[in-house]
Amino acid sequence: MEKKRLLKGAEAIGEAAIQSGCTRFYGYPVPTQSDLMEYLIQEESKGRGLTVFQSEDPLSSFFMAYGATIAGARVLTAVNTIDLPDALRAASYFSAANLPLVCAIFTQSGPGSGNIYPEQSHTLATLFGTRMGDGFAPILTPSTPTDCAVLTHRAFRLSETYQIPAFVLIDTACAQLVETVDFSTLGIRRISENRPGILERVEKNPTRITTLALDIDKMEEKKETLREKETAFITAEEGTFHLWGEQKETVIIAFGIAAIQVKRALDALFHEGFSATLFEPTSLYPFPSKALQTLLAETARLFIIDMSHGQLETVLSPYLPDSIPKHVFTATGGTVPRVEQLKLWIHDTLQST
Amino acid sequence: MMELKFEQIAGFPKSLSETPQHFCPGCTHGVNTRLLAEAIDRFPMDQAIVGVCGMGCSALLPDYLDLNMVAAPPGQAIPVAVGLSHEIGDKGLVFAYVGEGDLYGRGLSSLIHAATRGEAITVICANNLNTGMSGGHLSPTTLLGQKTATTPEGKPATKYGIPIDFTRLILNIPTVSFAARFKGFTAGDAKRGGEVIARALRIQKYQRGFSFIEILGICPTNLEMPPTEAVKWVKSAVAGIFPSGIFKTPEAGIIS
Repeated sequence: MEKKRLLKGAEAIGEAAIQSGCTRFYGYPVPTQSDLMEYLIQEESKGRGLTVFQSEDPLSSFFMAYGATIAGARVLTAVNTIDLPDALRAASYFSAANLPLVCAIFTQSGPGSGNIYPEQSHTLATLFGTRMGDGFAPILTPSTPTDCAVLTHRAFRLSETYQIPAFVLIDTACAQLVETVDFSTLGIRRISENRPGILERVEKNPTRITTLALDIDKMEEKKETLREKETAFITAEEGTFHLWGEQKETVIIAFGIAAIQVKRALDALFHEGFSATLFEPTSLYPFPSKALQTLLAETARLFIIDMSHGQLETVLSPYLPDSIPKHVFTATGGTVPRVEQLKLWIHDTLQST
Repeated sequence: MMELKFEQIAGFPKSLSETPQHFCPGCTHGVNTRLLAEAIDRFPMDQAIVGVCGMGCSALLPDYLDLNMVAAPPGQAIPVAVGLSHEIGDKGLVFAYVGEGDLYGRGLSSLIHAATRGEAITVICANNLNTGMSGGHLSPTTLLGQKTATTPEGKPATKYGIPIDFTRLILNIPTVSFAARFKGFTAGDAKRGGEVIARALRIQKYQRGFSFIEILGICPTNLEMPPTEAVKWVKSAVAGIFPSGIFKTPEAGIIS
């Protein structure tokens, strides 16, 4: 396998999954998720130790994954946000059963069928939805194909370490972006934790896996264990981020395709004598709150590029001091903020403040 | 003097756990669970068995069977069984035990697709003509005129259609190896039923085929009848709608 690969974001997720030791993929074709499934089918035919299965519907793909995981498989699934509720239902069951799962969620414009163009309007639904019944799941947000690979590997590591579902939340534009990914520099390796399948578990034979707990004391105990697991997770795992720029006076926060466009706009503005720093969270849970708060301690103004009606602002709100003036640029409906547009907006806003 | 030979025909099945069961008095889930345990006991145990149960009255099956068991969410017992079967392959056998409200309602699509793909699983449907655990509501096999919590005046065909023989629907799929239905009311029924379950598991083991069994049972609590009356009522009410028998085998194909 060549170390340097020209890959789309969706394909980089698949490649990193294979390199992390993923043995099964279950999914249902919906654009842009299909790019991932088609890539994996190609790799399956090369004998790379992965089996791909197209299920009858998105929900059943998650519960085929549930059965296969219980039997010992390391599974990747994927959905488009049109089927986000299925992914969230699965998150609840995998959390309750202490089972690992990695799922890529491709975010498109909504509500309803909307269109397949990128939007970030399912951010809160994912953040809150994965907390159904007090479950929890890491939510990682790559922008470039290289990040897709790194964060997919991280998702596999987190899901196996804590036996939890983990999500890679990617907008449909980033899923289509093409880049040369140099896997020799990324530290992606087969995850070594050996999780026995239901037939190999000897310590407790027979094994019973159920999320039903009719006894309220037992259920409370189960919830307490889940809380302890989340505390251990949040204590040990830092939220990841990228910082582009050195000055701290003006900070722009964006993720996904919005972050990529901001980088381009800042490059152009730099040549015109303007500068600002981009803070790109690549993990919404855990959120890189310490890093952001440290950065904001010296910030005079804050720009937020939100590809939704205020959802990124809501995510950020616990970490933003009221004292810093905020300016929000909104792009929805499947519109990617154009570089010229951003450049002009950043320029004008800087001039007026 | 003639020597008497004794054959043990009953006993506490090895695969049945000693956990007290929650089923209502007269409910046939208890009989089904025992038949399942007996059939598994009779099976040559050179292969591991994993069972999947659906939601509803069958959801506590993991407590009642001394087997590797997985409880699935509503409507998802078949996908869970399929995923287990994909990964386990010929290292073990996978069966699913699901109530008809779950299996024929929101689980129907997955059931038909698994049957169409000829997945190596044995599906056992406990059909008691209502969604028992929810409090006795309409299920896809509720009979015309049958009173349920959602049809207090009896199920009308005009509003809810007629009960469908899902076993017939399944057995007509070419990739289905075995299909049968039996009643779980009498000792004779139980004996025949146990044999049917064992046969379905054997087919899965040796032919890796999809086998399907429906067990017709009663829910006296929700029918609001004593068990003996419930048996009589169900027997006469299902005559001609849900016949018993072995309908399809790998050797003979569709029998009737």
